[in-house]
Amino acid sequence: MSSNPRDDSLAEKRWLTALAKGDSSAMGGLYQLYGEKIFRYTYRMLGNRTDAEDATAETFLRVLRRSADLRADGAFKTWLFRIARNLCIDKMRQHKLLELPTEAHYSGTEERAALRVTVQQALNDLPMDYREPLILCDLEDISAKEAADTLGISVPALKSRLYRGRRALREKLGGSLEKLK
Amino acid sequence: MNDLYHKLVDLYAGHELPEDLVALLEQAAQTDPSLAMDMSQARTLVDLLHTMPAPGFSEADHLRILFKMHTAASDLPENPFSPEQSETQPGTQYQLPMFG
Repeated sequence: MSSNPRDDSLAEKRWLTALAKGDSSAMGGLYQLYGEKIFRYTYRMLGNRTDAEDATAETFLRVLRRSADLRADGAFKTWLFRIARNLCIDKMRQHKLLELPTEAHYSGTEERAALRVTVQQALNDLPMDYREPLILCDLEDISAKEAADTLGISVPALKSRLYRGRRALREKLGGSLEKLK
Repeated sequence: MNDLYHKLVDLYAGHELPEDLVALLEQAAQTDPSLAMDMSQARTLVDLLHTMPAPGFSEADHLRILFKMHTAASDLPENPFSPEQSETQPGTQYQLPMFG
């Protein structure tokens, strides 16, 4: 993946056009563009590496199975995240439980590192309606429009959930944030 | 503090307020300690969330995902995740590490 969004967008268009024409080898290019992003998103949603790997693999397989319907109209990324999200929700229904990522490395000062663990725990405890916008917008830096499309809601509704999610998170964290100052 | 006030603070925290409103809010905070604390905590949280470390994506993760896709796509006439395919695909790396 390049650091230039325009290059990524051109590459995405090229791979999608090739895939829609039946060139299944273009799938590798799409995976190269979005594989890590989808893995990171599914890992944050599911909280463990194995499930995130399964969900990432299944996301791209679903794309492959529907490759004849693909259009290079700029909505592919959102569609990809929506597939990944649905797979995560299915997996969460199966497990009913969320594990805290145990392999994450929290670096920095000791206080900040400890706070990050606390934040991660508090985030996992939030209702899904609040957690998802926080993961997409604040942790993964996805635009409000793309996040709203992924969740199938309007941008104002997304902003409202984001706002309520941040407030809920602050309430859960209590005075922990004060210690950082 | 009313809901609108809270939303304004949230926009401030997310660096989404125009500069003139930021200046106004910061000015108001100088005489309102509870507003100052609210703004500071909200921004600290958003900044912290933006700098939360991303889950590591290692070569081993990459290979395991490719292996899962390759296995699951084995019924397809042209498996795009096979090692042969990725050799012709410059953007894709799929070479198992050699040991011994």
